[in-house]
Amino acid sequence: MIRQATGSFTAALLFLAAVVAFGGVIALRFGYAARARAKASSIVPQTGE
Amino acid sequence: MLLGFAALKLLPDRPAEAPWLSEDEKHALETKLAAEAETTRDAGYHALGDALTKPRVLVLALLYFCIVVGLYGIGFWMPQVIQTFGLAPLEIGFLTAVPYLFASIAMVLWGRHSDLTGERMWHVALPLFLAGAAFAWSAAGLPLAVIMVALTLAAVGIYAAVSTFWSLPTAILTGTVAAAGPALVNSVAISAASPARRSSA
Repeated sequence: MIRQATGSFTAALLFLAAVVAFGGVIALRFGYAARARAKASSIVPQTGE
Repeated sequence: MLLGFAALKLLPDRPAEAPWLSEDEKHALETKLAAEAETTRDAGYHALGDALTKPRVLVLALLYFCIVVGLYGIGFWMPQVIQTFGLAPLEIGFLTAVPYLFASIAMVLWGRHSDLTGERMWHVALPLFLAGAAFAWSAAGLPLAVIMVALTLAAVGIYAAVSTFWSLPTAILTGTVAAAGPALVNSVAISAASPARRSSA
């Protein structure tokens, strides 16, 4: 679609670059959130303990 | 489909029910699984509904969607990019194999490094950034040799990320959800990325 619209691969490859880099950002966000949760659960005593 | 029904019937649900394992092996695996379930008990998901509704699983689906778009880009667009240089189909075939050769080596080494260090987040993010930069580089209208280097780096990044990505769902999912969650992540990501595959045609 993108390639046909532009007549070249430039836009298509830039689209891929953006999506894949966005995936990298999501991975970092996911990882930092998981670390924060792990840190919080190690500090807050569990119910019933 | 038949194999799916056969798997339901023939494969045991737990190591303790596997006839090909010794008693020691069954015990060791059950102990290991129990320890992992305990680790994910507090921060993970257990119920089947969790796998379908919780944001963290859906974020993983979004992340895998980004990876699958990159996979489709490499798989479907790379031969067409090479074709624009006027090569014969056989030459395109051989050239297309080169990035996969490097990617297969990178997958093993990167996955092993992630296991050795126990680090997952950067082992998924860094290769994706590398792939993103390489895709952008390949869009710059360069000679074939440089394009091949860029596409090889993109393939290395994408496949290295895949090798460590699948350790993420099991870090937050346990029990039945450990099977249903990855299935959801996979199906959502691949379904969402299918327009990218169609657009390559």
